[in-house]
Formats: sequence, structure tokens, C-alpha cells
Amino acid sequence: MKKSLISASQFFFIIFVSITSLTFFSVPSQLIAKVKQDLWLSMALGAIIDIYVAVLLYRLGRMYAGQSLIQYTRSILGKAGKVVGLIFLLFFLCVMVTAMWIYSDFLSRTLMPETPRLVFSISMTICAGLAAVKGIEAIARLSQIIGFIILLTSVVLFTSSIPYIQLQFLLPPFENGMLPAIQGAIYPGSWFGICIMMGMLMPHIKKQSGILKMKVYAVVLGTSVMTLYLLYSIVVMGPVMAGHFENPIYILSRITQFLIFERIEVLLLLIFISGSFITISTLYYAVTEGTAQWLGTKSHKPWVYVFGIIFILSPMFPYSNESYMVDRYLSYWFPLVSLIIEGGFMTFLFIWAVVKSKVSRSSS
Amino acid sequence: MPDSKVNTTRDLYNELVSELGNSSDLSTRNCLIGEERIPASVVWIDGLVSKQNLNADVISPLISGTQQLKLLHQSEPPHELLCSYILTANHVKMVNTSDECVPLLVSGWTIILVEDSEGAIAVNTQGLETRSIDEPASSSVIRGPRDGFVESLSVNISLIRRRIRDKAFRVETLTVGNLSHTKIAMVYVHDRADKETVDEIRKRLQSIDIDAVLESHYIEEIIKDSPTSFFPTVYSTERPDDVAGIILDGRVAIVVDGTPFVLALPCTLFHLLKTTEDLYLAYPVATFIRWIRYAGFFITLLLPSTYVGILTYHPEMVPPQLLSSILSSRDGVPFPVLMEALVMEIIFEGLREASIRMPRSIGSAISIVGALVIGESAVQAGIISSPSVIIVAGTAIASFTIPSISLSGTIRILRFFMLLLASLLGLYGIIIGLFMLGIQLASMQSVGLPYLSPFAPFKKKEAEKAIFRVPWFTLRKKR
Repeated sequence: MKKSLISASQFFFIIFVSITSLTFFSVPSQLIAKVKQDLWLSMALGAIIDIYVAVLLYRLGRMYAGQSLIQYTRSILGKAGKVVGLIFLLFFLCVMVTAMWIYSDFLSRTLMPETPRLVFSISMTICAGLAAVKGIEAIARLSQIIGFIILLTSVVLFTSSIPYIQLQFLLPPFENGMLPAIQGAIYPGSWFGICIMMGMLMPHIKKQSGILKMKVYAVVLGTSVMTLYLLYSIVVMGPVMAGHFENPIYILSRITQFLIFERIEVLLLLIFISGSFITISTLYYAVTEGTAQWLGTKSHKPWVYVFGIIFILSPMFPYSNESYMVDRYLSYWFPLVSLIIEGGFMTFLFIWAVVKSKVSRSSS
Repeated sequence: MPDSKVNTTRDLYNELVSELGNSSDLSTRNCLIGEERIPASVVWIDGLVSKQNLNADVISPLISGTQQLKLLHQSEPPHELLCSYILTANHVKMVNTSDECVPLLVSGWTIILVEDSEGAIAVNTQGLETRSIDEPASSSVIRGPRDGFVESLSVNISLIRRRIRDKAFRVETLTVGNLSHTKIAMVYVHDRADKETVDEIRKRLQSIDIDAVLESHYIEEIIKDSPTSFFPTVYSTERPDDVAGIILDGRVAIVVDGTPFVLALPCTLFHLLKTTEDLYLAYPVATFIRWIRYAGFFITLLLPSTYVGILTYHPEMVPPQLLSSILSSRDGVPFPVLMEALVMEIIFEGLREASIRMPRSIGSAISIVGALVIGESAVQAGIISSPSVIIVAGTAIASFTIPSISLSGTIRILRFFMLLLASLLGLYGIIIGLFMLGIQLASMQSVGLPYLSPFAPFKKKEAEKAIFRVPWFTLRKKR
């Protein structure tokens, strides 16, 4: 089978779409409530964490050209790499299940309150599974269209809500010092870090040299668009009100008008649903391909079906109805674990690889 | 050589007759030729040959031209003498076995068998009755050439060739069909068509194994990419100027004998939404019309389902005044919205099918029945609400703007699929449907060209050309 290849600009759109949609669904409530008007600093720090991980991934990817994260972990660490690879895979799986859980939970509460959460997870798993079977090329092509739509909608929404802006809500900066903003960076940082899947995508990209630049552009653009969204919801509604809503961006679109249509929030939601479709499909593809590489099976397709069952059941996980547990997981355990894996493991892997190549060079 | 055994003339004649099973349209004219009065037979199949050519080029020179001629014991054998000296047809060749004769005979050639000499002479007297060239019924234009393809391969190729008079124009002919032996021709411009594409198409055509090819769709279905998909990945047209434009673009056309529909590859979604007339109209007008067509594509697919989805699940999206007028006209209608939309759409599809099959004189009756009974009476009787009628009518108009018949058919089927999803899950269902459709389309290819190009993957120059009808004066002269 021919190896599927995507272009650098397609990669750009995948990352951009992933960042915006993940931020839309998972970050706002935690961030606005805790950091308020200084959230831009948190977002910027989050982006910097992500770019740091991206640099590591890029250097590793160049060092072991043509290999994915799972494969070069093994080449670097040998036997132990198998274990680390498994941890990465489990992390991917955990991210996907969490993303799917947040997604179906959010939709069942906002879009269609009477529909069971399982319906959303089933429909999304079917779509994303189809996409994972079709391969990264199809996902990448679709991401170009969806990314463009997200950008366009954002511009329309920003311009149409200009009349509602009250800039005094942004003042004063650093009301409670810098600390909350820096602590808040853990939320966007942990979710942006999902771009660790870049490690899985790298061998599929045609021109290797432009990847880092594209990745940085995508992260910067995605972060700024989402920061604008969050700031907009603060300047339109005020930090207190915005902090109370579960998803202020969603409410923001309810306030603004577009032509004769008054309540366009469903449209906005649909657009971000398409964003998460791209994200979830890419993750799905990364997980299945990673598993195939880890176990050395020929095709990733059988794994699509295996994991499909897990993803469908993700809204049914234990404790998912206990809001205390969920909150604890989303705002403490998940960011902690993902930062350890993305930041810690990657740094460790990178240093090890550098040392290893130095040693082998000096010995030869 | 399939059979090296040399037949005598009589054997060959009997073999021919028995191979064709004494078929009654096999005609024979026996005569005596030359000064020596050698018996000879002229064999042809009625209806495939032009009688005029047969008489003027074969029979009359054979009989009256050879009376003073000694055929035997000359420096050349009699067959060669006849070929080069007597027969005035434009194409003559020597054949030895009946295996060689039969294919020629059934394609309109005439076989001359001369007693006591080896083999036979085959003379091209092909003269099929064909329709005259007139305006294609499937696509008419306001401005632009009015000639359309006919059922004859050679006429069709000549129609293309007269538009591109260049040495780079290439025609490759091959025969397909175990029983029909249909001739098909690949037409392309040598230095513009991508070599890999041409090779791939040639390979696919050569591997066709089928009994008969009665229309180009037989070929289309066999060679198309993603054969299980609903979407057409092969373009078909009846217009020579369209084909000329296509092969100038570096694509490949496939002309099939016996049908006016010519295929073209590769073909993307946006090729199917363009028309040749775009190029004959002023560029702002053409761009505008093209946008209407793109909108028509989405309206056909999504309008009924969006109507059902919004009314059932998200009525708050509709402005209050509009919502109240829709609801007041739905007052007293006994069916749910989905049922209304579904029934009306199916009735419309029925009307459409009925009006195609009807003779033209009865066609007007259909439209009266459709408009009066379904439009007026159903609404007045309070069975169907008028917004649904408006939605269905809007969808119908939009579906007529899609220039490709096959694409419009696909979209019309998918519309029902979307309608069901919308009734189950509202707008979320529609977006789920669009994901499935999108991933399907994004993964499709037509001979190596992604189906959604030039937008996904994005190519700036070509995307501009797809969105706008770029005026000629801004384009470079050569590619």
C-alpha cells in the first residue's frame, strides 16, 4: 500500500482546527472563572508549552526521519521504549475518551437536552471511525475546508458583535497578581499538548523542513482566535456573568445577531462540532496507527473497530454523573498527567536521544 | 497467424456462410471477371454497407473494368492486380482466412472471392446510416455551438478534431465487448495530458471484459474510481466543444461507438458543476451563474432536511414572525413535518420521471396535474402546508441548476438520506450526514486527482478558476 501523504498546509489546518475546537469544548469554563481578564497570559503560556513540545517532537522527528512517535521511542529506548510507547498510547486513548466525554456531555446539555449522551458518542465514533479507516489524507483534505469555515465564522462573529463590546471589563490587568494567570496556563497547556499527535503525523508530511514553522503558525493562530473568543465573551458579558456559564463562547453567539437570524448559537456549535470531528478523527487515526505500530500489525483498520467500542462507551464511564469527581478529574488529574507526559516524557526522551547520538558518534 | 492453412476460394466462401450461420442478411453477388471469365463472388452484409459505394467502387469496376483484362498468368497474382488496378475504393486489403474475414464483414466491409486463387480481397464499403448532427437534447445553450455528437465514432472524432487542428491531437482506438466488438477511442492532446493519467486510463480500458457495450455508461461503470460511491467520477457530455475544452485542459476523453455521450476523465466534483457556456458568457455573468449553481447544489442537498430539522428541533432559530406564519399555515395539517416533506419530495420525483417518459403532447397534462392537484388542491384541502410546497418547489428548481444529470441524481438521493438524519437528530443529524459525505468525498479520487480538488487539497490558481470565471485577458496564452 502506498503511504498516504499530506502537505504542510494541510497539517497547519489540522493543528489549527484541533486547537480551536478543543479549546472551545474544554477550556472556557475553568479558565474564565479563575483567571478572568488575564486569561490571555494563560493562553500565551499554554501556547509556549505547546511550542516547546513541538520543537522537541520536530527535532526527534528529524533525527529519526520516517518514524512515528511510537516507533522512535522504541529505537531510542530499546526494550523500555515498548513501555513508554504503551504509555503514550494509553495517554492518547485517555485524551480521546476524555474529549469524547466532554463532547457528548456538552451536547446533551446544550444542543439536545432530551437525547441520551450515547447518541452523540455513537454518531461521532461512526463518523470518526469512517474517517480513520479512510486515512489521514481524507481527514487532512477535509480539515482544510473546515478550518477555513472556522476562520470565516470567527471573523463574522467578531465583527457582528463589535457593538456589544464594553472594554472596561478588561480592566484592571492582573487584579490578583500574575499567579492565577500562570496557574491557569495548565488548562490550555494540557489540551494544546494534544498536538503531541504531531509525532504521529510527522512521517506523513511531504516537506519535512517546513513542519515546525507551520506548527508554530497554527498554534499561534489557533490560540489567538480562541483568546479573542474568550476575551470577547468577557467584554460582552462581563467577567462575572461569563464565569458562571459553562460555555461563555456559546452564550456569546446567542447574544449577537446575524442578518435576520437571532439565535445562531446552534450554527456556531455545529461549526465547532465539525472542528472536533477533525480532532477526534485525527486522534482516532493516531491511536489506531500507533497501536498497529506498537504491536507490529500490518494495518491499522482492525483497531478502528476495537477502539470504536471504547469510544462509544466513553460517556458511560463510572463516576461520569458525579460532578465532583468529574471536576476533580478535568481540572486536576487530567492536566497534571498530560503535562507530565507531554512535557516530562518528551523532554526526557529528547535528552536521551541526544545523549545516545553523541555517544554513538564519539564511539565511532 | 491463427490458422496457417491456406483455403481455396470455395472453401473460404462456405466457411464464411457457415460461420455466420446462413444469416439472411448476408448478400452474395456472383459474377465472371476478366477476359478468362473467372467466377467470382462478392459478399457483404446488408445495411452495413453503402449501396452506392458498393456499386461504384466494387461491382461495376469488377465487371465492366475487367472485360479486356487478362487476369491469369500475369507478372502479378490476380488479387494484387485487382486491388491496384481495378478497385477504386479507398481502403483495400488482402485476407487469407475466414477468421480475418468475419470481423471485417460484420463491420461493413465487402469480401471479394475469386475462383482458383488463394485468399480474398476485403474492400472497405462501410456506410452505416447515421443521424444527422443536430443540437444535443441533454444540454442546450443560449450562446455557443449547436452541434452535438451522433452515434458514429468517426463522425464524433471528426467533430472534436475540427476544433483542435494540431499535430498533438491523439486518437487511440481499441475494441471492447466479446459480442458487440464496439470500437472505443481515447482522445487527448499529447503534450498536455499527463502521461501517467493516459497510461492508467489505457490500462483500465484494456482490462475491460464485457459481453456488449451499448452505451458509454457500461464503460464508465467499469473504469470509474470508487465504483461503490454514489458520486460520478467520470464526466459525460454530448457536446463536442465541451470535449475539446476538456482535452485542451489536459484531460482524456473516451468516445464510444454507438452513443452520442462521450466520457471524460479525470473528473472532480467541480468539473461536474461547470458548464461550457460559462466560457461563452461575459465573465461577471458567468461567475454569478456559477455561484448560483454551487448554491443550487447545497440547496438541493440540504433545504428539505434543514426545514424539517429546524422546525422539529430548533424552532427558536427562526425569527418569531416567520415562525408564526409557518406555524399558522401548518395549522390543521394532519401529518408531521417529516412526513409532509418526504411525501412531497417523492411525489415530485414521480412527476419528474413521468414527464421524461411521456410524449411531448401529453407532457403538459402532467404539469397541469402536478401544479393543480398537488400544488393548489392539497394546500387548500389542508392536507399539505404551503411552506412544504414552497420548500419542495425550491429544492426542485435548485436541482435543475445542477448541469450534470448523474450528479443531480446522486444529490437527489442523498437528500432523502439527509432528511431522515434531520428527522432523527435535527441539525446535529445533518452535520453528521455532512461529515460522512465529506469524508467519503475527500477520500475519493478520479484517476489520481482528488475529488474535492482544487479546494481540498487547496491549489490557489485552480481554486480561483473554480470560484470565478477568470476572463481570458488575464490568463496567459499558454499553460
